[in-house]
Amino acid sequence: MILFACLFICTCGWAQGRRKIIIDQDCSGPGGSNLQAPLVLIQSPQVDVLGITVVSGDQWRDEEVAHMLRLLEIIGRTDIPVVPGAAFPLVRNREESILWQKRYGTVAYAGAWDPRWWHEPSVVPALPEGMPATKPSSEDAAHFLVRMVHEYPHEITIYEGGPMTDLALAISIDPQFPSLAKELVFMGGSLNPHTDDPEFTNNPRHEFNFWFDPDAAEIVLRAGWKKIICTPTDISIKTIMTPAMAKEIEAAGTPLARYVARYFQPGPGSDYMWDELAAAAWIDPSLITTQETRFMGVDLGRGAGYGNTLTWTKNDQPAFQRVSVDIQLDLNAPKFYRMFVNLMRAPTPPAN
Amino acid sequence: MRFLRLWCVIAVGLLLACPKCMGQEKQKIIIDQDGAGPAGTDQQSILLLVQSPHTDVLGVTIVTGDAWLDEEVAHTLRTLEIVGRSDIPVVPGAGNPLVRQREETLLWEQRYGKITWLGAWTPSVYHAPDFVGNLPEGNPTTKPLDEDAAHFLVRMVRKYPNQVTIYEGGPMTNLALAISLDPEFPSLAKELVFMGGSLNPQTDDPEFTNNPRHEFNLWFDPEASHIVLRANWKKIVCTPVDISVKARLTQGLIDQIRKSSTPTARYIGQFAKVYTYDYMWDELAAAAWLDPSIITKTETRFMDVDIDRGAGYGNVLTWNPSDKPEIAVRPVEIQLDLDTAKLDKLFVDLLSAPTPPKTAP
Repeated sequence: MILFACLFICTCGWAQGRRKIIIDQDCSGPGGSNLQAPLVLIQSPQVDVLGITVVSGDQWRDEEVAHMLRLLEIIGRTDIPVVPGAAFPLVRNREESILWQKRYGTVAYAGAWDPRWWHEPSVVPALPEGMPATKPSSEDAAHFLVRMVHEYPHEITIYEGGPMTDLALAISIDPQFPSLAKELVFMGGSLNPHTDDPEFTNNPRHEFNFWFDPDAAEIVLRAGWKKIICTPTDISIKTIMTPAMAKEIEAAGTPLARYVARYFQPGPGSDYMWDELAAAAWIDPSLITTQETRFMGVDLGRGAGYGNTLTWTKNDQPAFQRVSVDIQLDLNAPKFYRMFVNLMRAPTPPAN
Repeated sequence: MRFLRLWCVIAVGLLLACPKCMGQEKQKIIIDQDGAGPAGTDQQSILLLVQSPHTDVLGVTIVTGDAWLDEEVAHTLRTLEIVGRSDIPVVPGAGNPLVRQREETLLWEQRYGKITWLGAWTPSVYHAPDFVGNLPEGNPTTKPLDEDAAHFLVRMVRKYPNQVTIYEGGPMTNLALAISLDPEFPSLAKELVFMGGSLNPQTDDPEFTNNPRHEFNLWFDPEASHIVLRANWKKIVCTPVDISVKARLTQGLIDQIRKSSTPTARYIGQFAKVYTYDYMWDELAAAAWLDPSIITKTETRFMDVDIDRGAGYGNVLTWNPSDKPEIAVRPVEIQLDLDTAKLDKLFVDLLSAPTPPKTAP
């Protein structure tokens, strides 16, 4: 009886106060961190996902749009618009990054540019999870982002799980965009991760999302947001998704749960819960046990440091004015895994 | 009588055979401009293109550069009101360059030396970005288009593929945004013509004597310049400082225009001023597009802008085919010398003339 009453109160009372969010993501798939993070948000009854804007990063935009559309079909939430964003970073390109790596050293992971799987940007390889039948929005991401924050001023959280190209375009088109959003939460940046992962041992300040489009990241980090929350590599590498978790999720038997389990890939690098943690910590900040506030930027010098994370405290900051960033450094891992598994096992909340 | 009838038939035949004369083949163009005013190179170049009977100006997109976006929109709206062409949309674009900022630039100057002209950021004229005040030529009553420049540019080249000339008279921020939104934008345009860049101008103008590779438009937004110059346009035509310094605006030219009493001529007569180093920067780029025979010397080189952050940040880079780098760079037709008499005549004739009405659809 009490449980029923609680559920009743939760669904009635909370439905009215649902937190609005737009997810900007490099939706590489199938499965994996980029798609599991949107699932965390969609599965949460307190969250209203207004749309998913898609940017090239871990894969190319067109194939990512296909993966996202197909996942929404599988879980029965094709009401959520998938809005295509930037196909290329603002300034950096693959050609130049190849020359840069010849001069400064190869990066461990280059996303859509990675020579291990590179293909032409407009090619959408056959999706293992099936090709989508639904279509993306005919509006572009930058326009959608700007339009939404004007429609719901000060209400929308901007969640960024990939390179920041779409957000930078929105800011350039409408400098009011950041101040009309409620806040920015993102996975990106790296300070000093304690790891033997070779991606970071020689360059602790390197992180892919920033590196892929450094100019966009700097444009975004210096803009007039009310609040910025960062989930950096330092905390990402303290998470891991395990085969046991996948099995527990699979047992729920829903299409979503079966999808997550089917496409789960264990192994170094692919099982950090990069973007899922950023999403979960936004829903429940008590997951985070250590946090620091610093000023953050991105190195736009075109040499060895191009794309690296820059940070300062009040004492040593340069002569600029910018919003400080709340940087998450440690978490309650068991609580996070429990929350994640529960959300992946739950029935999907219906559309509004 | 028979010969007169024959002449009539021949004349009508010639007229019908000339599509431009019949107004059927007007050249579509979008003007992206940092529309400072009143009069001056930014407004005067807009007027040259609007005044030409051979153009169909689809719109004027505005970017912060010589002045701030808001005041430039106001000046451009007012100019079009004065000449009776408020049918041409004025489309607000970027209020700031993509990456470069004023504060950082002031610090850069402390390290690398002062820049003569910082446009809207120039200390002697600097004011808050959204301040417009009362315009000497009168405040506009018409409104800008409710669409941003980047989306307008993309929409227009998709509506008229391979037909629209993109004219750039200011920093390239709007064009870079259009390219980022739609990588096919440059290839769907007909061509890019721009005033910008500098190779080696022969001048005692102190803006260039210590840095021959500096030019304001490309310097103000180097990243945008880089994005635009490497993109796959079918054709790029550049009017650099090297030729600008050979095209002086003189009081004599303004006085000639003053003889006419058309709205355009009265506007020029009232508000055009001549300064010490006064070149027909953007007017020449427009005039040379209207009549390429004005240009007497061109060279084709590969062109880019330095986006390293040190002393060369914003400077022009050029190469020949033999020494170009391995990254994709585009050939640019660079205008180097002109027939000034021809330019002056076109300038006076067009700005004295009545304004052609809107093209019938």
